[in-house]
Amino acid sequence: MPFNNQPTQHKQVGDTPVLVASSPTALAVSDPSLAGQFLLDRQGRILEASGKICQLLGYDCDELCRFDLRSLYLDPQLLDDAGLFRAQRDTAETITSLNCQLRAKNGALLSVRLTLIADGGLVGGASGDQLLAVIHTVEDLSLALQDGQTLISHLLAWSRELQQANSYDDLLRLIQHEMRERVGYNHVWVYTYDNMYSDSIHILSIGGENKDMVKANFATIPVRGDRFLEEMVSTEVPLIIEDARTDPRTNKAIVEQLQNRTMIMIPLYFLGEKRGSLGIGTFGDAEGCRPPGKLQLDYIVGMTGHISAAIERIKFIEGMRDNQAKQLELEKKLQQSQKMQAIGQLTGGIAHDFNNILASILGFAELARASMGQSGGNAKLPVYLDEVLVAGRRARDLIAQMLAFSRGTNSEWSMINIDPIVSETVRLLRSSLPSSLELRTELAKNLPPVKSDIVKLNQIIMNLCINAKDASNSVGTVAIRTSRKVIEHGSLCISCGAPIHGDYVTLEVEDCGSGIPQDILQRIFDPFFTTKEVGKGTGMGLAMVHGIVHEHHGHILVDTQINRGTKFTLLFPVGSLDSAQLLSAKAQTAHVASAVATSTVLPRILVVDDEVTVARFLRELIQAHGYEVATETDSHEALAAFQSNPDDYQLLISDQTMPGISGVELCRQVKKIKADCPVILCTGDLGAIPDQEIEDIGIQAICSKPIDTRNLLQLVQQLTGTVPH
Amino acid sequence: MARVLVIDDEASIRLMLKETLEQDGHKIVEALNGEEALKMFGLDQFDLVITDLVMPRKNGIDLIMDIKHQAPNSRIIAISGGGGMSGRFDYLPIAELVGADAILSKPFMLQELKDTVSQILAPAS
Repeated sequence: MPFNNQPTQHKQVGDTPVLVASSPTALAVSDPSLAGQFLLDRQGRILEASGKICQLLGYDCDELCRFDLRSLYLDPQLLDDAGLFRAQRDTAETITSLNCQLRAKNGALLSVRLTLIADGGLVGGASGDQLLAVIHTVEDLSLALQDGQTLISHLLAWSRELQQANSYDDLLRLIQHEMRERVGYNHVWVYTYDNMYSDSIHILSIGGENKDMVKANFATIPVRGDRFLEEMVSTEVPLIIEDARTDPRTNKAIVEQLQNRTMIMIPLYFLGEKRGSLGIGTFGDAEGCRPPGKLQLDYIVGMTGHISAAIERIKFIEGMRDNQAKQLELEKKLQQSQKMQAIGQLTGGIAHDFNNILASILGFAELARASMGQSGGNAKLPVYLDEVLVAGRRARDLIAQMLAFSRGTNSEWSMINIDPIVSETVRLLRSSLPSSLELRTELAKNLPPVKSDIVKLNQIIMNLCINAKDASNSVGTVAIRTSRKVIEHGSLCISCGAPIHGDYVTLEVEDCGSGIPQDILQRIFDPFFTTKEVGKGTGMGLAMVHGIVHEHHGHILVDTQINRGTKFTLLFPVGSLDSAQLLSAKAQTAHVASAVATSTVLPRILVVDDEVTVARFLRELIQAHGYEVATETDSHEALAAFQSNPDDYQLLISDQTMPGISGVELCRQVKKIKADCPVILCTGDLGAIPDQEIEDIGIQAICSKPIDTRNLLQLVQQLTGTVPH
Repeated sequence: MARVLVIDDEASIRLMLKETLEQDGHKIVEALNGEEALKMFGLDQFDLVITDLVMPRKNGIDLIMDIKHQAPNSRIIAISGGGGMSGRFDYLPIAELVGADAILSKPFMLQELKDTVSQILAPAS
């Protein structure tokens, strides 16, 4: 009898399972495959049938209630054999689920999945004496196809679709659709393995309602110690977990969290190698446990061959995309660094000519101005000439800044604490900035020293503060902070594009001004780039900051928000780390050099002078005569380089007056390490070092300043016993 | 009043130096490059040499070394617009290294030049 239409002595059941709330196996209302349910007694007799199943089988409800379930069942023996109806259950629980075929009134066979549930007294009658049979239709795969299409031709057509997918998500969508339409599962996911003996697996893609949560929590899962995953990784055949809650292999905590029910894991092979697993399954009480039938499983396995090929294809494409992206990123960085270098070189090249031109312009303007005073003449001429002088001086200052950018200026490097420099610079600036702008300093205590040039440090603080003033229209606060930061991988320098990593002393200048638009952020360090009105900015300020900071082996970060403000963070490597890096680089250079030295005829000479230009000049000079020359501008580093590879050097030429270790002391240390290494000491003050000391140390020659390079070369020749080229 | 040898490959610079120093009563002799200057130095006596550094033929560094070799007590002021012959580095510090008594970066104010000249000549006068 149809439910809900006629009164009945039996408790009525609808099409939807009555045990939804309490039964772990009851199925969702929305499940399209749900065909209805029977209420049975312990003998298997149908007590009630829901409307939909009556319709599907072509019986009315009263007719069905005369039947034993076995009489509808194609192979009634199966049910008896299982002894299902005899089993006594006191609580509502699933007894079994099995695929079978029911015979309709017209003789047709209906493929169904039948789930027997002990009602536990929840439906009606005495506890444990009734059973609920929940019926799901299982589409017959071969019957589901239309227009006489065979399963194979359908699979091939689907495979062609798969090969069009260009992303894992596209691919998964296609798999999910096919799995739902053809096999009846809503949830699909793909694991990949690091290798065949993987310690962890990665979710490549996942579909279904839980996908975001699973992706967030289970993107990578360790395999070892998880029986289910270990078996999944090692097995060569499909792994089917009918009910994840009761199967001893599953991790119950995960099952509880994800609400897994049936899990079907099919190995994905590509060219004989296992690359991952395709997962199919049901989740939650709404879907319940639904292991696949044989035909379903065969079809899923058939799908996986094509899925493996499609995954490999996408991996290949993504790999290409990744490489392309990396290549582009690299090119961008290279371009930025080349651009800065080229500008530096160009600036260095033209500065000399410009200075000569300006020397004439300014010189003659001055001469003209002076002669005007003497001879009288047109009263306006002195005014005009003053303008020429003002403009000329501006050009001169600009070139000086350009040279600072191109690192062409001389430096006085020493290990300093930047805090006092910052305080002093800010103090000087205060008097020249409008009082409407507050300069606030927040200095860290006990900063480690950095190798720096005070004048240059001063220049960059001034520049950043003046920019901050302009950006905030001279109103508000400019904060100047110092601190120490260890920066791990991840940040890139905004001006040179290099990755930043290490221990830094930072100097921040932050304003609450107009901010810098993203589209010009990459250009702000370019020489001559300015957003200020003509005549108000040279466009060299930040270019100079870039030059100086990088001369310190430092980097720059910029944090900016439109109308909120901008923060420039300058990073200066902490002294000791810098030296350590240099030392290790030197050890490598020395190693290479020693390999080279064996094939060169003339010896290797170490030139030490704290003045970079002089060191480079001497290197060029001596190198031009065929010697190999290494230069150092820091006496400590020179000693470290010599110490790490004393046999690489056959001569030391050292300046006397240097910060750190003096020339005499350096010679003494070098002699201690390698007594037979000849040394030449260059000094402008011969009398300052006692002859006895020179003799005691064993200094072979003193080269007095001013140096006559011919004398120096002769000394080199004599002390190394060589004939220069 | 001193005899000053002025060496610069740019005529305008030579003229400017000449005009300026003549205002203080110095006698100026000009040379176009280091080679020419060295010849003149051998033929005449000078109280002061003012030389550019980046020049064709003989450059200023070589010239300073040659002059100091010939006459170690000669006084030399090096002037340069920065940069070097190879464009790789600034020659002014090297000029000091090889014996220049003073250096001046171009462009300079004429008073700076005059002051430097007076300062260098002072011990002798």
